[in-house]
Amino acid sequence: MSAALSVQPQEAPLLPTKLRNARALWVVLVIMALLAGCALLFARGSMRLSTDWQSQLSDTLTVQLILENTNDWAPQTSTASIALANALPGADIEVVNQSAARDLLRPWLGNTVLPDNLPVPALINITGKELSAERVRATLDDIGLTSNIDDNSRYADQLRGTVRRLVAIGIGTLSLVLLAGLCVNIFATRASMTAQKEIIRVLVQVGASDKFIAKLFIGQAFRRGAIGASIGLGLAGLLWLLLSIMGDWGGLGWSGLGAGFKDLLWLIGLGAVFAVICAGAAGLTATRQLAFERKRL
Amino acid sequence: MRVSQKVNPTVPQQAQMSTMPDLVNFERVALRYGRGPEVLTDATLDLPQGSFTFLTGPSGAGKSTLLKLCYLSLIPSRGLIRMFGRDSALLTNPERQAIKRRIGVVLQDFHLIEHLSVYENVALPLRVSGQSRSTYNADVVELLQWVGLGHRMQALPPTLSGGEKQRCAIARAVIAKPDLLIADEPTGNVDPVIGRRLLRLFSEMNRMGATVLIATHDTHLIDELDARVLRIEEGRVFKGKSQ
Repeated sequence: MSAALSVQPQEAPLLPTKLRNARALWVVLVIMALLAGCALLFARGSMRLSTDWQSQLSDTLTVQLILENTNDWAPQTSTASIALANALPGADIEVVNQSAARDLLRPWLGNTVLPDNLPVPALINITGKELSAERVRATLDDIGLTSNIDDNSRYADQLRGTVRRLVAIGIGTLSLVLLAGLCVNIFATRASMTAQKEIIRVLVQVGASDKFIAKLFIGQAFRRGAIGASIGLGLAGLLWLLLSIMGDWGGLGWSGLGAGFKDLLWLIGLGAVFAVICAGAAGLTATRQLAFERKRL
Repeated sequence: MRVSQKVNPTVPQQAQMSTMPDLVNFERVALRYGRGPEVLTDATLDLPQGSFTFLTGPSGAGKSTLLKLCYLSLIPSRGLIRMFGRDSALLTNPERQAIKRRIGVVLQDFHLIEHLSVYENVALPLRVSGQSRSTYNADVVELLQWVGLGHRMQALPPTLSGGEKQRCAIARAVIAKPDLLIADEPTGNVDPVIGRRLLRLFSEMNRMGATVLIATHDTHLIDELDARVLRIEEGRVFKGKSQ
């Protein structure tokens, strides 16, 4: 008997682990995790892109000098650029030459030949950190130049609003996918309880509590959710990695949306949430179903 | 679990039975399934603690229904059932589960879990009650050897014969040393030798203090022991083998 005592293997799982009809459920869970992962990476990519763009916009200013006479173009832009270089020592001051300034008018004037005496705007681009439109205006006022300063704030506001909507779409999609995951798991747990009603009957007969039985289904759903999430989110990460490697393929700017190390952590977190949702749905459903069956006796 | 193999199987422990409190008490219990006719009518019976009782009667008379009421798998349509001194209708869910753990049940169709080995099936009541494998391993192995399944411990139920399944189900019912042991035709699928051996096991359980209720058609089995006999006919319970 001592030999027999020593050879007993580990406790077997009380619910069967290989279910013939569970393959379709696995596919559904993997697809849902993939969609959830894509939605998360899209939302995070949009936020990152927005931050990058806004950072770039906040680092540039465009000054338009208001000239009373077109002949003043050269001396006044020169005076202004020197004054700005002195006032903003770390900034890069660039006068937009007349040819380039004239090209900026083309979208409004079409491809017709532009007359030589056409007044072209006197533009100065300033690039640098922590630029202040007020300071630039004050510098130009001090030397008697009137100016319009475009600090890109309107464009930045529009960009912020657009990105906010994109992030909301991403988070909304993610929430819907997680909600669908919850519903799928409720349905799957009910189906699983029906398929395994003989096992449940035996467990009830030997005195298992509802909590004990629910824990079995929670464990089963958690494993299912964790594995499904690992595969689905892994595929989502791989897809995003490929898109970022492909760069601006198709002019869609995928490289900006590409995944980073923090996204990997977010994906792991999402996987944990996905598995917990699966387990929670199973626990809730199993507990309610067992209570319902008991009342039906 | 320490089961002696030198037990006289013919004399169940019923001494001082009349002074013992009732473990199970039915008062005018009736049961109907849905809107159908009553399959049990005004059943009144008691199972004193430590008693050994056979329940007999023709097929369809209501034996299995009465057993189901005894092991709390059904709730009566009317009447009063007291289990271990408690009104079964007033039991909370945890109390009901606690009482179920004190009852060992052997059913006609065995109810073994097919993907679990014989060993795992027998150990199930102990596992459910929260015991660790190291505490019950020796008991399970010893009991399986005693019922002749020592060499089939790792076999799965679909590979067992009817008799082996029955012995596995019986071993599962007795492994937790229940206070009340209920068996529905426990020797129906085994040869006479194994049948007598199983009866000896029930008798030994009874000697150790368990109250035993066995439903059977087998008059030879009933004759083996000098035990109480309840007869059920057309949903009514009578004392003695025949009217």
